[in-house]
Amino acid sequence: MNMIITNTCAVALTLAAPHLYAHAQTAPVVAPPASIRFEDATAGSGIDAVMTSGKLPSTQIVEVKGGGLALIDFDGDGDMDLFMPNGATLADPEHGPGARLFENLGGLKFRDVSERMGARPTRWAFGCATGDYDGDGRDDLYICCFGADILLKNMGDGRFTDVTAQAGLGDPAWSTSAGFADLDMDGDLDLFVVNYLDFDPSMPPPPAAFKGMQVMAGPRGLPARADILYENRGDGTFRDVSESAGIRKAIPGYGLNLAVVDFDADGRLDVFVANDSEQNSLFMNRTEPGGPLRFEERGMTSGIATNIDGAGQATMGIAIGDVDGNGRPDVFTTNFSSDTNTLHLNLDGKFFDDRTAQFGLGAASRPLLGWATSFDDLDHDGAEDVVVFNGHVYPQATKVAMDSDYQQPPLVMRRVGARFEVVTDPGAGLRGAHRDRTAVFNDLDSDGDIDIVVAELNGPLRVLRNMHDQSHDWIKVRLRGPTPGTSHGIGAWVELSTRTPTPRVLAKRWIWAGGPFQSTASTEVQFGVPDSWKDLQLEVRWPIVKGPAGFAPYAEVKYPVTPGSTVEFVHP
Amino acid sequence: MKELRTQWTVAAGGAIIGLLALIFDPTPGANAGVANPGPPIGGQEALPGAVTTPVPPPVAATPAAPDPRWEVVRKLLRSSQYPSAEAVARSLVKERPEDLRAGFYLGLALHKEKRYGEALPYLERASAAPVDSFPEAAHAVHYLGWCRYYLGDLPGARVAFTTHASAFPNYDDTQFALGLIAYEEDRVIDSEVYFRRALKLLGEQQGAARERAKNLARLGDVLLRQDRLPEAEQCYRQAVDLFETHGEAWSKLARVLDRLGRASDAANARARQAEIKARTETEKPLP
Repeated sequence: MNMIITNTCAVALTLAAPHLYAHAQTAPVVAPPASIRFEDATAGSGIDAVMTSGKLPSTQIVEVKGGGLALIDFDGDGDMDLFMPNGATLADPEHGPGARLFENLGGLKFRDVSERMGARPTRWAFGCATGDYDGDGRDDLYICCFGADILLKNMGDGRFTDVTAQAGLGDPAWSTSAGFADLDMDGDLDLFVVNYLDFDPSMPPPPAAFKGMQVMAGPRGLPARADILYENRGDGTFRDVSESAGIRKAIPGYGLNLAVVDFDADGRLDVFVANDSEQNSLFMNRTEPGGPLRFEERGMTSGIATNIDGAGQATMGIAIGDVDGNGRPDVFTTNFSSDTNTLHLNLDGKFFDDRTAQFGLGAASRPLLGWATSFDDLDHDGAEDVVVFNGHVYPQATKVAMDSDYQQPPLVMRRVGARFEVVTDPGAGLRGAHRDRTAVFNDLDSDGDIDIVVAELNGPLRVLRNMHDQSHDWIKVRLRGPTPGTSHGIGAWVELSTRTPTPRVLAKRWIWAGGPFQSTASTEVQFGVPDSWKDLQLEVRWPIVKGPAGFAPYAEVKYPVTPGSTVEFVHP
Repeated sequence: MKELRTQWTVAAGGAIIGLLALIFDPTPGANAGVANPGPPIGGQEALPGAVTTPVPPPVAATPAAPDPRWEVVRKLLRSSQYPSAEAVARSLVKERPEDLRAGFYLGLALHKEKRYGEALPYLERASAAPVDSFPEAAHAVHYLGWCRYYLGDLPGARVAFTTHASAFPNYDDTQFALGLIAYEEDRVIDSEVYFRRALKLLGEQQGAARERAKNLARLGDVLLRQDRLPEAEQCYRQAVDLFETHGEAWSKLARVLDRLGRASDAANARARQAEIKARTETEKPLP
């Protein structure tokens, strides 16, 4: 394994012996006074896009989800560019204003290169997945649509070509989110597509009632569409293996989002699916290396399908993080108003427990309807904070009429000790009420802290700059795997630990497919590093990967690292 | 899912309080003032309240000029016709905008409709009034507490329920609410104390089975949070024994059984919950 370090002085690259240090629980960090501050940097950023999703006021269910966003390094220059698969309107769902692609120029400046894309879809689109499906070294785009989905092949010169039909894709079901990941460990990227429901805009269901008011009908009563698992054949084509892999055994849900993560640390990637208005699904990967894809649905029996009361929720956003410091990926989800967001702790890889209250994540979310979310250490105190973007689906919503306003501010919660606390003034960028939906989180200006791009329903994209801006209190990690399926390290985890005064784990991150909401999680890992953290080292564990010698056990490697570094691990 | 419950008990002061037709809804607080005994409405009956709660004398403080609509509102609330109760209460408020009691009933009706934001100002005003302003005034703060709770204002809810508890320490639903708030604030020991206190107040009284089941299900959560799995199982099991169609408790029981490694028992409990859910969903209109 090679390690490349940039943005820092030379560091001796010493390979420490694996398993040298005991795996300790991450200690809760007592944070200094809040310092999470964002400014709105949209003006002058070059991002001038408005996300179309029907018209305002929304009248039908297809109009209220908003579209998606994707981080993609389409030009291979090392920074994340931005793709927005755009929506359309009920009057012409096939011909909206079209997708947008923005090239990252650095310093939170972007260039609109949409016109140079070649294939530029106009179909009503929702979420998006990125990945190098054909192993040519360039990330491609899978776009979820109200109508047939679209696969765009990255041609490497800024152009994309629609290869949906050639790849055997293009299912016509209304899909909302998707994720590329090497689920069968054969080296290429398979594809999991989350479907929503069957809906005919010409025959909308009758209005429903919410809190005594007549509102547009929700999903209940409409036929749910089963999710689809596509196996990559390795020749640029896919085949639907949903039936044989056990995906169809699950009761179809109104799927909105997904997280592809190794929940039980067996080296195989599992799939958590967020469903609207009903129980969520957890597909545990039982595939044997070299064998056919096989999943077991364990949502209910694992405890992650519902909240503590056994109620299915309207789950939209997903964040993955190690909230309790036990080294396992916990799942935070955002939900409808008059409900709470929910944190499921991953107890042992087998069972999850709703610990929303324990961490103080419930009450503040009751008046809010949550969408995109992410765990990130926004103030670099060593503990991950959480941001949730909010906005109601019903245009009539007011705090008086529905206990929840139509336009809502983001919920910013900072980790303070054992709990999260609401940040009342996170700066102008995270202040103010909007109809927010999707977002992506990444260090877009390469200054070491996490910035955000958020999309409002039928509103302009906003670029939010993290004002932390200190030069040496962070570490970033990128992974480069040996196969297309692991090219960005999807399924790997990265652990930051110290040897002083005693060996202990300080923080852990997962690289996962899926994202905050109809968007992509960043494949770049970021750690905030407080001054008290010394003598640091990074450890990476990859998922099972097929190499020259077959299905090799995943590597665990430790390297010393200094703050202010961007580290690139290249798997041999 | 509706049950009429009428019960008589003796108040601390010796007054006989009529307890009313109540709906059980396992949702925390959904029964506040209805599933539990509460403030008197006047006349021969009292509005819902704690089973063992002593409440102020019901008749003496009624308005000088009785208006038949008060009784109509009370009856509508008792029979769960909340929108109708709201309409009548609203007409009272329109006629008597300064009448705190009318505002209280409007707030209560809105609270029962789960329209907490709209109920809030009415209940805030009623709670701020002197306790002898109208017969139910001392209990307005209890419903204010639930509104604040469901609007995400935990500190405000805690203040309201603590205020009510200091005046009515034997009001089980307020103890239940304080238990929920303590749980939300991760004060698990306090939470356990509150739920146990509510259970003690409810005792073995006839008609309190649903309320006891509700408290037991929450107590089970507190125990589960402390990894006291066998005790949690016992709580959940008692809850479903007391109230067999408590779907939430069946779900919780299934979860703890899974974690105890009794997959078959868990599957049975989950099947029971699914059965209840299916039945419940066919009984209510689509959202």
